Amino acid sequence: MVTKKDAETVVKGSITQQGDCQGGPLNGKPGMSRFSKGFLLVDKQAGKAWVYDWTGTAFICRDEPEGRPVDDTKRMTAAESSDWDVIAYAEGGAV
Amino acid sequence: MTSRAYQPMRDFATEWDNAYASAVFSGIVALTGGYHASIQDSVPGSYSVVRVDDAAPPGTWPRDISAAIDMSMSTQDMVKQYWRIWRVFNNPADPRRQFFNAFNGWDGSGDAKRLDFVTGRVGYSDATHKWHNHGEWRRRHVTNPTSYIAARSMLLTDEGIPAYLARIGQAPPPPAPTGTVPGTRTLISIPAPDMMHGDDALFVQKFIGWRCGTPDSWYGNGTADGVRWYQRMRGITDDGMVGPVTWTHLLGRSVSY
Repeated sequence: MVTKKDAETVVKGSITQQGDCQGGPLNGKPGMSRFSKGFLLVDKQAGKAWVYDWTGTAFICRDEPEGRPVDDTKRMTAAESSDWDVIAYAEGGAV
Repeated sequence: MTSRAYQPMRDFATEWDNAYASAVFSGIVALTGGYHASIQDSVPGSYSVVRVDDAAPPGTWPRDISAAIDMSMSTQDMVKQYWRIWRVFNNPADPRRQFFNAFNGWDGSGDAKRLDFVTGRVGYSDATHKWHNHGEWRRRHVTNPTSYIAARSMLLTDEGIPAYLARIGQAPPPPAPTGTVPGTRTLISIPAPDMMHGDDALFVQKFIGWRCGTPDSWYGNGTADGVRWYQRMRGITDDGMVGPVTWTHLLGRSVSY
């Protein structure tokens, strides 16, 4: 479990949020996002996605364990935004 | 001040996303993200604005576009792509290298790596590059269409240099013909496509030096000009051809054929 002090780390000019994940396929695992709102976890092959909101100390999954259908337009928009990271979920998680 | 994504780069990100089973497009523009930020938005003196290319005068290329793509992938796909790009990075003669500034990714062991295409050095990158690969263009090449052909070739395929050259409409150089041992034939400057080529031409270029231009094994007008200078210095007929007399001077031994 990371501490509040460790939760924001400057990496090459960007802020990286680090903390444990709660819920979804990453429940109990460490998570990371380079942007302020959290990250979108995408399993492209299964066509599923999970939204993890950054609370300041942890990433909270807002979706049911089975996730939501992937919306390709939305995930591309999220990737281009300055609010959300987009992370691949495969083989049990790329995180 | 602003940073925007260049549409062909955005299109290439989609293509990259489609090329690997696990890949999901992860980012392209960030206001404070190194090469993700435009040169306008970058902090003066930061690592992403200090290269010679970055000093190109305004008007040479747009100053408001980002120059990097992030792609999150499974470990398996990241490693596969790392070794694809390593083949290009590790060959200084590979023409695809010229368009890229760096690649951050993971080879599956130890820390994430940073392959610097300008210096040729391998460094380390931060831990986020264990879940996403990062491709960085040299800023002046973001608007160069050939850079996307090169990116496709080295990031998405296993193809080698000849296949890439064919894609951009350049035939690979022919193999050096036999009989190109220095002193075994007369070198004459003939216009393309019949220009003479081989190790003997390279020998002449390297022997005479800068007056022949960049050594490339092709006996063109630049090489012939250097030979004329050499012939005048030696007091022999300055015809720009390397025949038995000039070979004898170059090789320091009698040559006839």
